[in-house]
Amino acid sequence: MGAWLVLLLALVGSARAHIVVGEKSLQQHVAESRTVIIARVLDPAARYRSAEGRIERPVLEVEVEETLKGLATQSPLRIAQHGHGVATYRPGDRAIFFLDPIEAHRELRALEGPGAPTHVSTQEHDEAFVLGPPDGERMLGAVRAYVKVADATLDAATRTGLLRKATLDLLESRSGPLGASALSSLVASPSIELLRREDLPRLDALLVDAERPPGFRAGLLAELERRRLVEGEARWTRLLASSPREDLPATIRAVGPRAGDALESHLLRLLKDSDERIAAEAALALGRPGRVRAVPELAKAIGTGGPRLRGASIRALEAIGTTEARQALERIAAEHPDATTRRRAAAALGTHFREAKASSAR
Amino acid sequence: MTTHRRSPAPTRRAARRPLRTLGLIALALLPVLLLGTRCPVPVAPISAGACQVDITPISPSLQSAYEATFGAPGVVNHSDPIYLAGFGNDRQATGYNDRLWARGVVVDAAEGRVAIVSLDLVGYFNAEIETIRSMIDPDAGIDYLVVSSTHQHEGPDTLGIWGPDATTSGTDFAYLDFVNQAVADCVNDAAATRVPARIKFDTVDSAGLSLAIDPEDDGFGVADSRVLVDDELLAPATDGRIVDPRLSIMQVTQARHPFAPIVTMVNFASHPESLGSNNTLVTSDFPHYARERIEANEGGMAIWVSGDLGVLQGPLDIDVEDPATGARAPRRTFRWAQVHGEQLADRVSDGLTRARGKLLGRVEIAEPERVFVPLANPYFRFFIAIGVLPSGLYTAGAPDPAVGFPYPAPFDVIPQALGEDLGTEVGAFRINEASFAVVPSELDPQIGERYRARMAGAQHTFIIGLGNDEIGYQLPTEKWNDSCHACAPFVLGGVPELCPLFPDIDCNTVFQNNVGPGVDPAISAALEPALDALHDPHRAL
Repeated sequence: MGAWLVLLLALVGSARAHIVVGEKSLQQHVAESRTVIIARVLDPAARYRSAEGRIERPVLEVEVEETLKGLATQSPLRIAQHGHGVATYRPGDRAIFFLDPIEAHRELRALEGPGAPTHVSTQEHDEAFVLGPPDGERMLGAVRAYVKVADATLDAATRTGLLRKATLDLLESRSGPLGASALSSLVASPSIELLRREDLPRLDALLVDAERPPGFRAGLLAELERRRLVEGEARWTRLLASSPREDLPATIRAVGPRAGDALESHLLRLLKDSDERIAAEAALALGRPGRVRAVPELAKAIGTGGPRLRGASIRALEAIGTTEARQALERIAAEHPDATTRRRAAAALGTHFREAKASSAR
Repeated sequence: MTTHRRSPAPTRRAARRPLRTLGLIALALLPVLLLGTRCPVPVAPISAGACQVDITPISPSLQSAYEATFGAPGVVNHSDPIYLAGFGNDRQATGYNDRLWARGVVVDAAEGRVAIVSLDLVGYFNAEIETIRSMIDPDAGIDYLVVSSTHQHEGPDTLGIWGPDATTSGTDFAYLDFVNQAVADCVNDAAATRVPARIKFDTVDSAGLSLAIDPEDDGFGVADSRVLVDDELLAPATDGRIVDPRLSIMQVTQARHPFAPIVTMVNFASHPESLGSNNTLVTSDFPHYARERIEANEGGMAIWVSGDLGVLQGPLDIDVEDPATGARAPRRTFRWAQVHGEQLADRVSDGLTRARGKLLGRVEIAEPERVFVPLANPYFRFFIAIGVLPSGLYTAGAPDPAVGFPYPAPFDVIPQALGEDLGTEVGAFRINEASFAVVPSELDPQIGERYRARMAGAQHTFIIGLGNDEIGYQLPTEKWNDSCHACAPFVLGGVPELCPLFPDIDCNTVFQNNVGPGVDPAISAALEPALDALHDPHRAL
């Protein structure tokens, strides 16, 4: 249980915030909200006024179509929105709303009287789950599944089956946020068999689909690896190779941190790409501690490349942090014909290597 | 002062004269001896310089929009797309409302030279600021550089977590290189162009600037949108909503008549995020309008520095009256930002003393303190391990870039950055009768008050937030609520009601997206002694 707890603590998805570390998944929205409804927006800009007229606040007025979780609510319903980003709706939008009773909200529970909102949206940061084509029904199906799995009378096999279908449906949606939601749920549920070997052909199609965001494809491959459904670096190389050229910088950025030896060779080739953006992303991806093999190529790139590639390669050498990397930076700081590059290399020697030197002296 | 009178011949009376002289001298010095160190401290003529650099991100696809908006050519310094920071993923810039700036002032007086730079950015990591420090010309003679971010939410992602998706960084490192060089050049320039100056300080507040019709708005022109446990006991009149309504002001003017302002720097604790999450135009938010108005009112250059805006002080839940219409300005609009910025600026100008600033001064700087904050949030460790957040962890004070797989099978392919601590820094300095605390965090104003209380003898106090780093929220340790982490297995399993802490599970951002409960103890343990050491209650100036 301890390891499971640690793992889940490691993989908590999160609401948006000043410091955002990932979207909250649909599964989390369902779990963390006491009420989940489908409703149609009547007035996205209604206002609540207190009886004495002193307090005013915008509220959302909706007509409840169905209560998916929690007690049935009155209709029409007035919802307060709170937080960083308030989701915007148009009249007539049909959407899923994740709610808590207003008395549970420390900041708004004082609102009372006729017309006061009775619920507050837990969608604190502008997430709007509007049901429309092409993925509205897919999203709704997943939400229904997430609600149903909380039923304590369900056996484990049925629960797993519901989650598995929801996960695959969301992964196959064309919506970036829904795909990310499914990935987030996958990562957070490592011991539940949400994906099986028999699903690989469907998932493989997603991995090579260049229309899908690079981050999604890399995240899915990482998850397949983690579940030991695929092994080896060949798929990572294929992910890079199958990426359209205009997506390559983003794909390298998504894939790079996971690079092992075979992928490193691929990145070293991309370091010589004629597109400076691609080469620069490859340089950054090669910047991992101890990556000695990359040092001479990065030094060469600084010698021949444009300003973006030079800056990225200097950062990479800083990150590699070996004696060889330091020596390369010293040569650049002393000899490079471009003053900005010399200055930047000197700064790298003056900061990061100073720290590394101090730590190695301990 | 005694005078020796010459005696024609030595006598016993004459022999007693040196003793009497010594006695008189001792009497004269007695008050000084009794009062200890109440003697004048060294001062010197003040000199100051200012600088500003346009750090607006310009991508190839938005270069023409920049030129059309500002009527000036723009040099590309950012790749496409520009991911906007501060709310969710994949919010891409589509144009510009106003520019983003790095604005700085260098103040030199007896004992020190300090440079304060404010960036119109969501945050800037310490490693980049260390790079800036290494790029500053040693001849600039800067003893202490402070680089603070306003924490605006409508600029480029400089931290990494607002990219196209949750697992892909949104930062363009070439843009960071551009900003580093721009800031270093700005500081060099300000130091090199210093002139004799006067300096003065004042403190006003923002009371009455908002309409107090929203239940979260107490009329202070900033709202507290996250009431922590037991805050109702601390602030019963406002149901626990605690804000810091101070506008702390530093104005530097020319030393000689007509004493033209060089810089007016304002410190205020409110998140510059009034435009909200639907805006896609690059803007510095209400500080842009505040600065423009201050410059129109005062002359010279205006600098906006965010303060203890921590948990969670901002403008999203307040209403302001549009003077043009007499009605509420619509929220989350540029008109709202303009009204609010201008009213803050007018409050500054209306309240600022018109007395001449001091010609002589002293800059005292506490040695910046390296701080290691225990990283308790394993989700952060995951994002560092996969490169979304930059590495920069430490163990026992040494850089520790190690990434490993600490979990047992079948979880042993989940990467985690293994370093134990985040490395950051705190600082403090004084300029004449003003004191400044530099914190790397989004500081809760309750802690801000604690720090101000330690600035003994200071007549004006400043909290420079997101100073030389951005490590997220710093809330009082006693307010830490671990329910979200503790109930995580139940929440993720879809059965939060089975957690013993249900229904009081608080997974609000301030807990879920927080380095951990060790932030305040670590920061305060370093900063409070530095403040104490810097504030001698007998210091006279």
